[in-house]
Amino acid sequence: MKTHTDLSPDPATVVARTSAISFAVVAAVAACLLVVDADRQDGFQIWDVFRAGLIFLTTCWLAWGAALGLIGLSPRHQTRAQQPTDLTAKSLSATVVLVPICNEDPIATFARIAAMDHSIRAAGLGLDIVILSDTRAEDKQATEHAAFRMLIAETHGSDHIYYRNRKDNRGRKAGNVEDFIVKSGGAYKYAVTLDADSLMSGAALHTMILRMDADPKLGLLQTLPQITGASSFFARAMQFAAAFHGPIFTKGLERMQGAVGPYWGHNAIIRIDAFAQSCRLPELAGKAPFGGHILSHDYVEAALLARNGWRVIADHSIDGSYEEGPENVLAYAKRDRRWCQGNLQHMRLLFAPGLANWSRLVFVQGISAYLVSLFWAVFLVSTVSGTIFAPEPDYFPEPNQLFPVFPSDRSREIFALALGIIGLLILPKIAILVNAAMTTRTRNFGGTARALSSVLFEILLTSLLAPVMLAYQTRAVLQVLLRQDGGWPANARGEGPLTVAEAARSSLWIVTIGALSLLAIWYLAPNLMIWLLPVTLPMIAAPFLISWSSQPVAAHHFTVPEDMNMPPVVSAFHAIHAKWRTDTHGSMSAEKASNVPA
Amino acid sequence: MTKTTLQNDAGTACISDNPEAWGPPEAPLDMPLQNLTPAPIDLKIANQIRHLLAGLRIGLRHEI
Repeated sequence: MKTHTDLSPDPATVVARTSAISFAVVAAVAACLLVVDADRQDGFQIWDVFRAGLIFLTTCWLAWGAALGLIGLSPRHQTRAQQPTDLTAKSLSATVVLVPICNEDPIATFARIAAMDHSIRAAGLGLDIVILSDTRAEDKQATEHAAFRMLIAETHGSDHIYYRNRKDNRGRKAGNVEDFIVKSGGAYKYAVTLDADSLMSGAALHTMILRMDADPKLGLLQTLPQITGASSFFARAMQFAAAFHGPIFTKGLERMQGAVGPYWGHNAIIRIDAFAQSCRLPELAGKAPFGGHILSHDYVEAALLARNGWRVIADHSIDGSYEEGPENVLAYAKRDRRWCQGNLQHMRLLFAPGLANWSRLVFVQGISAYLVSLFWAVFLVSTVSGTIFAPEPDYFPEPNQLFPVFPSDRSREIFALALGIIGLLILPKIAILVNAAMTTRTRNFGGTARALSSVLFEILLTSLLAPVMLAYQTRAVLQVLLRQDGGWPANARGEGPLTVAEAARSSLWIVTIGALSLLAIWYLAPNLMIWLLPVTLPMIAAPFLISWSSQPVAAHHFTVPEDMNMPPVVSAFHAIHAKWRTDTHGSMSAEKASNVPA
Repeated sequence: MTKTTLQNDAGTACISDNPEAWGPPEAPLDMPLQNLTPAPIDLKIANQIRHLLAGLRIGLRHEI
């Protein structure tokens, strides 16, 4: 079933896209010219062309991100994607909430489902919920079964909450959802896809269903989940950034996406017949990491819906959509390794037939997000190497010259380049802060002074951690390019604080590279020392940074709206989770849980 | 939706002892496999040029 929707961008979308691309290219050309200007002074060589190319690509990426934020701040316009809906209406469209899981903590996951079920009933909706388990180990299956009994006892939901365990885990999460659609999809019009750590309020689900009802060509509606439940310094900073900056960047994305928006794999609603007709993914020829199952299936599914003429929209304005985030740098890096492999696999799909050009650009963005780390690393190494191997200055280039010619100082160009790059990183965040102060949005973040402090500390933390993240991402990219399959292990949710020793075990190689680089620079190119200290020192201090940022902090640090007014679905989850944890004395046992009266 | 459940007074709090019976209702839906293989590059023009060049070379050889 192919629709004939016109997915061509409207004039406002064209303006937004053109502005962002122009901004990125102009910034990249400016950075490129600065590097060329600096290199020209000691003779321009082929090596310098390579470096200029790298700085073009890396700056282009940074400027693209900055453009998203700045466009998100521009005055609002009503696009075709954001037509208002009568939210008082009642929908009779059969909708199912899908919760694919694999080796998750069932107590936490099923407690979220219980909280959502309460919220769904409170909103007057009659949705089914299906837990799609891919867990294979028998003891873990037994634990899930016990937790399911607790869920049914808590919700009295045996008539609308289902659990099925798949015998064949083909296709991982995408295959899990596909299996449901093939066997049971005909019973429903819409499906809300969640992750194990997702939480959605009944009101949010109601809004999404009505939006789908109102737009028969809408194939997928993606919400912007807010991070909830963060407790460490690192996680709370990420939670704050997602809540404070995230909606503005997403607004920028919405203005550029037109009807070819993103799918992030969860906290979204899909039109089942559109999804069924468009999104059964083939296995790619060859072995992982580039062949086999498509790992980052969500981007591909969004592109395939658009290929069949279905509109795909992201909307940041739907409240009541939540997820959890990694609690420390190591958990973040582990997740990033999976995403890196999934995104780089999209290189195989860039020329898939019939895709919208914007879908191909989305693939390029996802690939660039990881390749750019490798480019930065190569740029830094080549800069140091270029300085070390630069020819000795010739003070008397002309015969019989009376006065020496001193090589010109390149500090001005390097300073301008550094300032420009820092500006691209920080400017959008400061602009968002100013905008929030002017529109009183900062009230939801503890007031302007507290929001200012949160923004500054978040910038400080991300700056300190940037070289460490760069190291992890570069390693991930190299591993994938060297065809090492990282698999798709389950998320380590709820992981606690790390000791310095634990952090050191996973970051000793970063410390070693940082220390050796610093020594080499000090010995061979001391004039670069001052410029590279912000990179090498955090690498040397990686274990301490990782451990320190994983420690719990009080809730008044990085205040977010949920701290000031906890949403009912989140507080219901915490209450049920605490109760179940107490009932099972902190450790889930199949025997204990199965004794819960049914 | 219908499902194999053991009903209690409330009607909805009991479930079968067999986890196999906890699954959702069956309602099959067709889901065709999608094609993501890039179309092979159209070599028509390249072939024409190759033939042209080959022809020229033959012509040149004849002349030589």
